[in-house]
Amino acid sequence: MATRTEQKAATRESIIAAAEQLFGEKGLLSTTTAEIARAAGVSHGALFVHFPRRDDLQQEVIGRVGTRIARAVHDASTEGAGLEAILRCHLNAIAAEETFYSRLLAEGPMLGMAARSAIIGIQSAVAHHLFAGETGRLPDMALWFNTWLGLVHHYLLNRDLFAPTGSVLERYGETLIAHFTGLVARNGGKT
Amino acid sequence: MEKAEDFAMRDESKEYCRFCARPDGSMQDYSEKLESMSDFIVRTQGLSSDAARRAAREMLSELPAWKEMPKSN
Repeated sequence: MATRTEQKAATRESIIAAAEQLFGEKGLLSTTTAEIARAAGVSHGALFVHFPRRDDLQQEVIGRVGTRIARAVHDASTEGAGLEAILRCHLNAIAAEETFYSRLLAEGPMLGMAARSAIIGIQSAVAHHLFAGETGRLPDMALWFNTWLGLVHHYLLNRDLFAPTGSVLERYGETLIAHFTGLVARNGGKT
Repeated sequence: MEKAEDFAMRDESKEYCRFCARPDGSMQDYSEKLESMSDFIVRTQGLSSDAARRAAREMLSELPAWKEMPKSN
């Protein structure tokens, strides 16, 4: 039989899972705490016991998604791992969170500073690994990183046009990697 | 921090990571960490120095060591 502490932790996890699902489906801005509580199977009041402010829950979800992406890129960045392998891992990690991550991108400019900083933090973790090797010798790292993110984010933000059914990254990921690594190679970087 | 290399000087008894350590292994103070984190954001993401600094303050406020630090100037 689960202890009270275990039950509390399980309730918290079910709230976070429901929030991530609904934020992805409906958007971070338009999902209400009442809807999250209903989807998690808890009372509205119970949700606030775990997350006194709606922003606390939102930050928890963004933080967890960001940690999963950063961890995946970190784990792929073993000694000798090339740029192509790290980019592929980056895309696979986003693909696992594609619906939520795309919503986060679309609504990012309308979210508060804490949420925007969390997004910047996710990109910092990715940038750290992308530029750890030979790529770090390319001039103007920010322009290279933004070229990669701009490419990927454009496809994600317009995923309904590029891939009306299924994952846009599954469909175009390899094309994006080949295009970007080609650009890097033509500019003297190692891929 | 999970692996030895994640810890400052690979010393698992330390409560801070290698990114928060000075070359001699001691922990950076808040202003050093804020400065290095802001610089990294500017260098890799190209944000303005003000925006990078605001973001770095927010991020540091999530870390146990700096929870009490103000998020604004």
